Amino acid sequence: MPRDYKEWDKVDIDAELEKLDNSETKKEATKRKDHHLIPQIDTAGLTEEEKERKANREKDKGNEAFRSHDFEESVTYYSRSISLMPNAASFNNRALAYLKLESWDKAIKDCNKVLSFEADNIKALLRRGTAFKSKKDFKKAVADFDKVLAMEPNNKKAEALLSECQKELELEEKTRQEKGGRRMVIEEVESEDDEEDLEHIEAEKPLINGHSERKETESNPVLNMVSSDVATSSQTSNPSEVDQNELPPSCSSSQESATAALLSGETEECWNDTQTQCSSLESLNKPSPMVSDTDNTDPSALPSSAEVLPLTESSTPDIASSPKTQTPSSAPLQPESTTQTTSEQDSNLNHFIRPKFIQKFLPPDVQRLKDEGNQLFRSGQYGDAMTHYSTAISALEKETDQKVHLSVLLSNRAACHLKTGNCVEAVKDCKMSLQYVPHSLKPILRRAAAYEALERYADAYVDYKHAISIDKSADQAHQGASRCQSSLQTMHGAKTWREKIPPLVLVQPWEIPIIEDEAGLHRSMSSSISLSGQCTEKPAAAESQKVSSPQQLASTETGVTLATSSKSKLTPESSEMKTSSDEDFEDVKARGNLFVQKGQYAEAIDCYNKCIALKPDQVASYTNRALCYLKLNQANEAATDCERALQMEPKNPKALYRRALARKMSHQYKLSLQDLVELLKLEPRNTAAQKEMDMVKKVYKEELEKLKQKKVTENETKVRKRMKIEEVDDDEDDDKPARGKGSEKSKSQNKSRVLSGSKSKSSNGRVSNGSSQFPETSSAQDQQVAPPIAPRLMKTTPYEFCQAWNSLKPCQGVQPYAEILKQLSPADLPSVISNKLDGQMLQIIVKCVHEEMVLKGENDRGYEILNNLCEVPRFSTVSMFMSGKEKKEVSSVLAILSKTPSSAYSSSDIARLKSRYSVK
Amino acid sequence: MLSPASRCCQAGTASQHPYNTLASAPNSKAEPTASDQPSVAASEGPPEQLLQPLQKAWLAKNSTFPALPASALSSSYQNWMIVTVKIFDKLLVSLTRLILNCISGFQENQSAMDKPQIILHVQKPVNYTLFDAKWIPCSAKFIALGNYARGTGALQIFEVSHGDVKLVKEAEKSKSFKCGTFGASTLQNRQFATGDFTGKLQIWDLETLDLPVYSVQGHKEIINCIDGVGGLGIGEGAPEIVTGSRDGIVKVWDPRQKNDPVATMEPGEGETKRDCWTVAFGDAYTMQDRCVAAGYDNGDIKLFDLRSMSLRWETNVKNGVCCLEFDRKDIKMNKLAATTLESKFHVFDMRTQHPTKGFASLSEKAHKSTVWLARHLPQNRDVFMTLGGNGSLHLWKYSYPSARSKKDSDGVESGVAGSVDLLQNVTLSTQPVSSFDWSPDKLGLSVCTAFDQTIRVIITTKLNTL
Repeated sequence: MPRDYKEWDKVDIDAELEKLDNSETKKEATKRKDHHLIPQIDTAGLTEEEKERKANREKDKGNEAFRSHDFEESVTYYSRSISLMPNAASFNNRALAYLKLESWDKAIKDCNKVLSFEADNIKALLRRGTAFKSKKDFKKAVADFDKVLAMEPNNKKAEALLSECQKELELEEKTRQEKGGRRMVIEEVESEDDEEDLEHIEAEKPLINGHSERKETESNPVLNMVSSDVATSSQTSNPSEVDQNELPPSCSSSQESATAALLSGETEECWNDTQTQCSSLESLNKPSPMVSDTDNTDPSALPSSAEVLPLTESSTPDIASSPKTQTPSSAPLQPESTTQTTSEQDSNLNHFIRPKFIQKFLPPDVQRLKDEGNQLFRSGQYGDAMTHYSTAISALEKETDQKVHLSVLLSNRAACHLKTGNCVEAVKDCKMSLQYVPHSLKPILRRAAAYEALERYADAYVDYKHAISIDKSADQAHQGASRCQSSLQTMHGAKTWREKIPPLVLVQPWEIPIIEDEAGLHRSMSSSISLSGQCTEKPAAAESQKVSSPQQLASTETGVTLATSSKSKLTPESSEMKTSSDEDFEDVKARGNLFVQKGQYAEAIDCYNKCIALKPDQVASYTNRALCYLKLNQANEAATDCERALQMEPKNPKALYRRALARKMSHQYKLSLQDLVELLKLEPRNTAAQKEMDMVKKVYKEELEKLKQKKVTENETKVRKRMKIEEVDDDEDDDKPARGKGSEKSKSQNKSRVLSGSKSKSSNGRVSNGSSQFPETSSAQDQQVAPPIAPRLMKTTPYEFCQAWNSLKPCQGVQPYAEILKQLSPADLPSVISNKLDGQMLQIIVKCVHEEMVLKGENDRGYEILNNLCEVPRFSTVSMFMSGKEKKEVSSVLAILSKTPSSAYSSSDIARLKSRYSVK
Repeated sequence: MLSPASRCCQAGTASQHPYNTLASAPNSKAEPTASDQPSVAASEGPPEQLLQPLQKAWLAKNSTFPALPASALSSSYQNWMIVTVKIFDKLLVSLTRLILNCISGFQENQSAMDKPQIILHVQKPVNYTLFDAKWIPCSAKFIALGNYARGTGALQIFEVSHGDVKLVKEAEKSKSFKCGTFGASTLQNRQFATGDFTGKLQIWDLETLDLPVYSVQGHKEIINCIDGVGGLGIGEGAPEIVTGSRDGIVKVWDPRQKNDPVATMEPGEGETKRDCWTVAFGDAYTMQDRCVAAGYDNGDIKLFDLRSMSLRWETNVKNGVCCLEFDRKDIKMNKLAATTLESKFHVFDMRTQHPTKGFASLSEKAHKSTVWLARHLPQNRDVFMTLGGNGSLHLWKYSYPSARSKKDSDGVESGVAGSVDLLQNVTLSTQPVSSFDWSPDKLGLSVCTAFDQTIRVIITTKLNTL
């Protein structure tokens, strides 16, 4: 095409036009390429006036583009205007455009610029506040809105936004208070040694849940043969042991029901149940014959667990190949048989091993790139995130052993592509990602989403189905599959559409690979490569570990050590940890912290044991171990650890605090209070300690009051409550081992309960399967039995009062109600109750006055309450409907009052009250 | 011969800070014009003006007050009392009426005041037929073009000052002028390009109107329309002028190149030549992109892409196309307004082009006569004025749809047209309005010529609130 003017003359326009006319549609199809505006204008050679003119015009264009919702164009024009002549208005407008584009950071930057020009530009403040709010930085947002309101007290928008922010803040605060510890912990996890990115963690979550479930249920058949102690210990052991257990979920779920039945106590029946169920599974799954085999041996195994193991080994190669469930349990009982199993393992490994991947630590620069990428992705700057991921990927591609990270990064980049609408690239990235690590959920879901956006519903459907077969609980996949199905049906007809889709990918659970950190953490994701090399290494490690485990056995309690030994086997490095104590110490301690994070306290205790063995002079090991004992409700051990720590460092606040907790746990309230007082002397601002002290005082008081009626169950609930508070506090301590995520946490609590339950049982000498495994149920009952404690009224407002009053609904007695009434001054009653008075409330109040005050001699207060109750707005109406019983109660109260003379009232007052309550 | 720069200086001193005079002019004259032109402004005048006559009436009533007691002095004391009471009664009634009137009048005016008002500021009769008027950029002056009855061309420069239009300069040329533009001139030179009845394209230096600085016999017949881009800082790329003529040819000129057009668009051999009535530049948002829209007497609208030298799009609106204008020349094509012979205008959304359906459009009836022109407000592309054959002006605002494009079943994007709202209308003359030009510098100021041989300077208020 001619662009030179002379060339124009040579062009035969008409011919050209005609030619192009004919091929117009073709040309349109190829679509013109958009030429983007340059966001900068060369200002060279322009006078100030010209610049101003032009800047204004560009700003106008920006405004127009903004009005037509073409925000990107408007940003370009504002940028052009700014490049000509930077002024507040353009920056301010661009900030708004960025807000619309949800580029919060850029918007904030522009607002800052405006505010540097004009410190009290209300619009800029509002916009920055909005940006902060959207970034969930509510504190800064509130600050901005406050500033606006200080300047313009009637600014409606600012008011609305401010109240929204405050609500959010409150909510945040609330969640922090309730389970805030967890949130903090997650941050710590990210900053510390957990190499996984956000996405990874998300992907794992459902799977981990699945694991814990499966683990418990799967291990149960085996466990039931052995003693309950063993059962609980293997339940607490690392989830990875499940990974090698080949039972498919369908099988395990049926077993779950079986074990549930088992736990009801009818043992014999259950054996039959499991047998029948397992045999019914035979046809379903390959491994199931082995399972049924094991079950057949069960009855014989029941009398002594020692016999079981050889049998299971010989008959079931799959269980043999997963020594972790078996070997630890057998270790204390039958050392010879375990060695047997390990030797057998090698031969059995080749068949049903879940493929496994070792996840290497990322090089620091790549890690940084990835983190930045994640950050950018979260803030919505997908383009930038994409470039970060791309550089990270190109760096990793050179290395051969970074398959997992490559897969994750590719999957992340695919997410960026998805967000920017570049679905074709997203599909490409997902494919690559799956090449590295097949059957991983995230890339499959993303590819499905991309296919769906590309309207390739058949492919999308296949991918969604694939995702479902990997993780049944993936909501996204279910929804997507149904969406695709409906659009496929409309496309191909309701009956024939299935013929038009490519074959579905169905994944057996054993195909889903495990991903293993260098730190020894297991993640379930995927890989198809069978790492026989690694697998053979592992048994070796296990063996060497087994040698060392007996020593540990001696030192700690059985339940714990069992878990310990099983645990230590899971970490390949642990076998090499004999030399260079310094390094090892840090290493082991870190690992211990990691276990605490994940809620595996028993394993953590083991790690700290090693720490102490390596370096007995470290206070932290003791305090940390004390924490673990606390979590496991082993108050005495915790206390001794704390004492040791305090011997070394008399003013260690953590040790003091934990000893207080431990002592409280063992009902030594006085000592506990002493500790807390001392701690508060050291750290007057330790809110956790303060709260704890209040709590202990209260409990102590109660304890003294009803020393006789106190029950063990009540005690347990208290313990649980205390644990909760303790968690929150932990996060305030900084060098404390961080804890895992919510799901894991609840799991860990379960576990600790399980442990304590089993412990108590074993100490009682009862070895009954059913009851020992379900301490949860009993504790749930405990909770109901425990009387609620009257909440404290912070303010005497109607709202607070109603909240407090209603919170007591489930409780039977009137005592807590009386507590509330005692917190109020009787004169406040009319204002506090306001128009909320109803028959039930009146009844309860009268009862309170009768039973809790007048009968206990608090006549004056009783009178005051009754007197003021008459002033409550709806009293006259409500009192009309008083039952005879209630009236009797009132009259008896008044009778008592009239009998006992007082300065607060006279007989005429009583008479007046009688008439008000319309009693004789 | 002076250099362009020094000439520019002279022009600047001659006008003596055009901005200042311009700024003061409309304000100082606002009230007198309102009273001078009751047909336009009386009904919509500001409330203060309404109050004035009422106040006068009240004062007139008041003035009778001192006269009454004088006559009552002679009568008895009782009479005097009665008279006083009566007077007070009357006074009270009139006062309440007055107050009520004030309030209601004020309220009526309040709602009317929210809308933009089109106010005739000055009108100036001339002794020739007016065809075109254009503001001189960065000044309070404008140029009027036309032809005298004797067949010669008129070019006059007027200046708006103190509520009046003063003739600053004039020239009579041998051929009648039809149209003119500043679009391709630099801000320093402000050279005016004209098309005349014989098909000549000329560029004038306004300081020396004796001879054109550029002259070319562009067309064989009258040049109906002209448009320029690339100058005045509007539009990227080279300065270019486009002319459309009765001979059916559209030519693009570069004022830096003598004699030959840089591009010619004409009907092929054997095709009937349609009268080209209007041309417009647009899409000049990068150095490369640029396109020309041309409208013909048979209702054809053609869009030529100057980048690829191709016809990008064409359509027929069934009626002769009187005027085409892009809402802005220097952005990626956004909207194109087309007015037609028989009381309709169309607005095309030029952002999304469908391969077969082309651009989405809306059409609207207006003026009950030929819609001669559509002119977009330079400061706000979504506001435009249409001018009718019955001498009326309609002010419109375009509203975008919630989504400007949608995907059809094949996944191809097609545009979605928005809607237009009539903001204000006013009839200024009995003859068709031949031209209208918004001042590029002063929001709401415009000049308009009609075939009743009158130049009108018009102020449109409240445009900044739209």
